[in-house]
Amino acid sequence: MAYFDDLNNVSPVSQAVAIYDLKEAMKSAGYTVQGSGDGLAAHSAVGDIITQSGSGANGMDNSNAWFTIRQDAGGTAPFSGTREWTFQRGTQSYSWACEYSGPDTTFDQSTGNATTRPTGVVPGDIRAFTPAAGFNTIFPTSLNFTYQIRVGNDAENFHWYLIGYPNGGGNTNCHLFFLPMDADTITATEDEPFVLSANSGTLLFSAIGNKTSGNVFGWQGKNGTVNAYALISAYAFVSGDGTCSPSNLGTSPVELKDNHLPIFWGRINTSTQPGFKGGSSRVKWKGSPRVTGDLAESSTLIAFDDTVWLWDGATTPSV
Amino acid sequence: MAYTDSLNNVSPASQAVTIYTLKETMKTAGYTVQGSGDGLAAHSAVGDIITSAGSGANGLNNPNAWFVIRQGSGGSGEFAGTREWLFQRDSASPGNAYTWKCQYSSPNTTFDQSTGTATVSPTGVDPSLVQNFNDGAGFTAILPTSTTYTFQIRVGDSAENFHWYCISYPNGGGAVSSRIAFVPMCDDSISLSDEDPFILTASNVDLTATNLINSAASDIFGWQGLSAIPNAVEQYAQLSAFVLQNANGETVFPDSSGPNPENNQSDGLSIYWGRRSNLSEHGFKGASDKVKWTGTSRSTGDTYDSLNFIVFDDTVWEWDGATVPSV
Repeated sequence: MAYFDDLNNVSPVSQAVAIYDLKEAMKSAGYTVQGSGDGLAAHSAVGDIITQSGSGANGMDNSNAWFTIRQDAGGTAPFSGTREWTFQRGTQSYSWACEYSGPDTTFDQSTGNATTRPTGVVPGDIRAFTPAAGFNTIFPTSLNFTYQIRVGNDAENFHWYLIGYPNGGGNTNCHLFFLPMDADTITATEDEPFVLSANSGTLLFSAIGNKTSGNVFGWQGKNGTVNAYALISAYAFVSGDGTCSPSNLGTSPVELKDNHLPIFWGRINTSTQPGFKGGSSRVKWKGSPRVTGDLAESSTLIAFDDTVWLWDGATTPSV
Repeated sequence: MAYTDSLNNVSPASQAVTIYTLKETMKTAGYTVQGSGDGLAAHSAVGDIITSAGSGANGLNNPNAWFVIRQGSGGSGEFAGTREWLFQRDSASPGNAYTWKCQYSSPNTTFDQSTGTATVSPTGVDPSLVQNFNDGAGFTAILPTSTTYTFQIRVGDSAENFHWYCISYPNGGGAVSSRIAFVPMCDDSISLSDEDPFILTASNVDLTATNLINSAASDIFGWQGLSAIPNAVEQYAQLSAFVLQNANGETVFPDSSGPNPENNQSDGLSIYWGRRSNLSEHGFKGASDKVKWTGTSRSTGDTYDSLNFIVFDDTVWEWDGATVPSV
């Protein structure tokens, strides 16, 4: 198991610093930049010319600055591959275009330049993982926030996240993540067992469980029956007494520890592209009420709103 | 993986035939009768004197006839052990063949056969650990009152973590009319310190989600936190199944997930069991992958995945991969 972390980033000088830190953490984890442009004059169709998080030459914090980064080599099918993500800054540092190549194509670096992000080799497979196509507000507009970055390599099935919340605590106010489904929850022929998201919303069930506005995306049956990119909903566990998970399951009757259940994802049958996506045990529902930044299980889990995410087992988060 | 089956039993002569057939199937699967009484004069404190499903000497269809049967040998970890189940027919005379007392020994005790007679079922070596798994302290209706039903029995051995079930529905189909079952939780869903990762039931209530999620009337029982860990809950309680809903208030599992988007096959999803935090003995029990929610609404008796699964109301159970069920 290997995550590469950049934790406890408090009050960045711009939101572009967060994206720059994500890029650097990804590179440390073995991900490789495939192309980049600084929004001014610098451009590379083969690598990374973004060398600093500020504005100016080779900076991330210029309008239209962009980079494409690819998952690290290795891993096992269907998690392995050459999936790529492109991030491009808009006119504001909190506004970004975030696009994903999927498993079957890559970004065509010959179509990019210093100010233009590339299109896809198969353009139809390139999809936004922001609420709408193009530039979206995916960060808080205030810089008064703290963010946490963890990037898993192939041993972690390429799970990564960048999650922010107000300094001092409170509900999350941005999340960018790429989340693998558990291998035992997907079909043998699944090509794309991931969901992903980039937006300034919360990680409350009421948000990520909403079938029309959850802003978590994924391919439903990539190359299979449905073969469509769609909004994916998180499902809560509910008994006749009400919602049990998240938040209302209480402690385990055996060890008296919090019960955290995996999150299952999919689309109800009354939607287009219906069906079950998979289950994630790297991100779970919290079992008991906890505030963002609370740790559980010897600091191996951290709470963000209604969810708990893998933590490093050591670091006390700034809240 | 090995199940021993008695399938497609249609219109038994009496409901006692169902329990008798369950006993015989369990014996074939390696379970052993520990003691029995025919409700008349025959009694054994070491084995099985119930040799017929009917009434009269050595029959199961007599008032107070009973037997205790123990899980098969072998198995691993917390699933192995000497768990026992007692079934005793209605004590009234002539009473009802659909009314039974059903008790479970838990893993930490057994029934004390020295306390049984031909007409009296034994108590537990540790009586506090013997619990009813029918809905009530004594005799309750656990089978259909009419015998125009079909029942299906499967009994798993150690390789199946001792999963067994006897489920019935009206001849011709319809909602489940009785379910007697012992269901193991998935190994990866439980605490390693949970000494009893099972749920069980004996009830004439159906297997729709409406009933299974009701913590006061699910008729699904199990030990919450039976464990050597200090302060563990260690209470026997009625458990709820959890359905899955999106944030729009719509239930997705069971019935409304639709076919799998990758292969267009029916999806089933493990059922998670427990008690909500507002209840006593709250917490998560475990997840059952041998019994799942239906992903798409289907009728009882429908099969899918090459006859490897059968639908009972909102639930999906493992089937034998060969037999077409009578419906």
